[in-house]
Amino acid sequence: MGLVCNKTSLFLGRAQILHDVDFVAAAGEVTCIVGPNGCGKTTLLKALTGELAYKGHIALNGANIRRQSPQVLATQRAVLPQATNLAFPFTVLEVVRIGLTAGLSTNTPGDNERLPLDALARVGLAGFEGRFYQELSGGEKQRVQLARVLVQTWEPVLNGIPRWLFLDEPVSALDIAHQLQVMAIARDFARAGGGVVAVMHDLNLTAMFSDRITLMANGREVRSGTPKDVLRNEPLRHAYNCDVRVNTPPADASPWLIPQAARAAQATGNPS
Amino acid sequence: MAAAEHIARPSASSHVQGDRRRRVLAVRTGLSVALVLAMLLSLGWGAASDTQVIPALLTPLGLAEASLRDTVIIWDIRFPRMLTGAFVGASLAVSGAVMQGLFRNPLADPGLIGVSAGAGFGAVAAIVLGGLLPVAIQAVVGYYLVPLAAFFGGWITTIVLYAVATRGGRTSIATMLLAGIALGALTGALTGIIVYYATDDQLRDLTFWGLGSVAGANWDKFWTALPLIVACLIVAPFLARSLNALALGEAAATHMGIPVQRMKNIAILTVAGSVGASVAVTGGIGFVGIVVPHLLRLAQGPDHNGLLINSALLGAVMLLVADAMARTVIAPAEMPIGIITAILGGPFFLWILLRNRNVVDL
Repeated sequence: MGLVCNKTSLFLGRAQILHDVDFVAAAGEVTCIVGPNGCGKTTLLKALTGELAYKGHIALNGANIRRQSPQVLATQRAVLPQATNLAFPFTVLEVVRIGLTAGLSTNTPGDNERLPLDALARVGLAGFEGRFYQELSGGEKQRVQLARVLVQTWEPVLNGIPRWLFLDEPVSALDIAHQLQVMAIARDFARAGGGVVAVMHDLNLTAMFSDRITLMANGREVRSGTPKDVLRNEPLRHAYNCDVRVNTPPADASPWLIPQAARAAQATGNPS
Repeated sequence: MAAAEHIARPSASSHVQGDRRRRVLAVRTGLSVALVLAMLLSLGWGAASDTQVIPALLTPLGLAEASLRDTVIIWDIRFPRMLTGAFVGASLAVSGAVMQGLFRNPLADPGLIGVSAGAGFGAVAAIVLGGLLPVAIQAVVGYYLVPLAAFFGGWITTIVLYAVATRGGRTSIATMLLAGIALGALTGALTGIIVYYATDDQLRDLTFWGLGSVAGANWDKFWTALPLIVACLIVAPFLARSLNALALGEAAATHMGIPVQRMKNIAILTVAGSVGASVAVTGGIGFVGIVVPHLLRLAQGPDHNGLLINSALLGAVMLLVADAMARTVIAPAEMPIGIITAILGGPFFLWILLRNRNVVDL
């Protein structure tokens, strides 16, 4: 059970955005996609969710996603977009409740009353039920959408089959406390048996929370593997065209990096 | 459109904040009562003010004995007119609500984006040119010719509009509104060409028809329009879940398991049919489709589960009241109802625009 993507290419108009990308993610793990702006991270996520037409093969839980109805897919996975604006004045609770109606319903009526409140509490928005979505800040909107997505796939494993969260830059609009909170939600979802695929910009958070990383550049996969494998000076320099230094503190062995090093290197005229 | 500070706050009662489903039920109950009252008003109010309404209603059942004149006025004039007004009002309001959900814009309306103009073109063409059809076809189509022509006129306009405004799976609201204006002008011009060839009798018919009126309603017209309107009223509540998901965007709706393209096709087909049938019977009656859903969103929130059914109720009430006004403002003559809805709806539409000037982003 997992997500497999073989030799997938994608064109928008005449421009080729993805070049023969291979990508795998396993249930029970947080898999992050990183890379510079415009490298095709979000496009890859849109291919993986079936939003954009692609060439190649993508299978979720062993089934080709092209052959599955939107309903069946929606029962297996939920997708958090980068930003969502609403045309009408829904309350926060009403937005989260929309998530209940997604896919083949698996909840009891009692669950349907309780789940939205639980999900809002989970993303730190308890008490926001009666607020209007359009009045919220960008970060709050993003967390309301996360609650809506969580409600759609509340149980990480359904009938023995893992469910999936696809998150497009889930923390880019958030302050540091909520960044950690949201990443912890993703990690817990994976620990409980579900699969998480996230497009990320913050490499430190990626290093902290991911089990597996795919590094992309120019629509191609540069390197995939564990954080220690991928977050190394050479592949990062190649992908981002920027001289960063990856470090490992002795306490726990997860790698970290200091962007200031790049500035120092440029200031001293060090070639990148 | 945000401007949420104007919108009634979700009440802080015992149940969960932000849950406005109870309010939907309260509004629905109130509107049901109002609808019954409006129907009685519509039956009781008219040029012949001395009509014995209750006895006339009961006469065919053998429970009372009213004069033949009164019985005819009630059963052959006011009753079909009342039902036509109620169903056309419901049809226009629900079509407006569905269109607004579909285009994710509170200003979308079958009238505003040229669909009514397309339906009008079909109807005018059928009225003027219908006599040119082979007798065999006329025999088959008969009374259904005008509603059918209006249906296809509205339908084709909607599909062209949708195709023009949709690119790469995304529907541009600005393009849609502008293309709606262009298509409205085009169908208006085509209608003009046909009107040019109309006889004097047809011209008078067309003029009054274009202003919109339920005055010409009779049982035959009512029964021909009814199936398409009822189809829309039955289908619409089943679209509620999809329209709610669509409020988050087309991609999000797909991810939530909505077969978006199929749902769009169904919505467009039923709306075009319903608007086409309504326009065929009563002519162009504007603004009901914008005003009704907007008022309801203010009162009970935008959740389509409550919005669509309540729109049908409020649309029926509003059209019946407008028709009662049309009958009495310049009695014993009648004012076309389209003039009443435009006089009331035009300023309301402007008020929505002004209030949301900062947030309506086309």
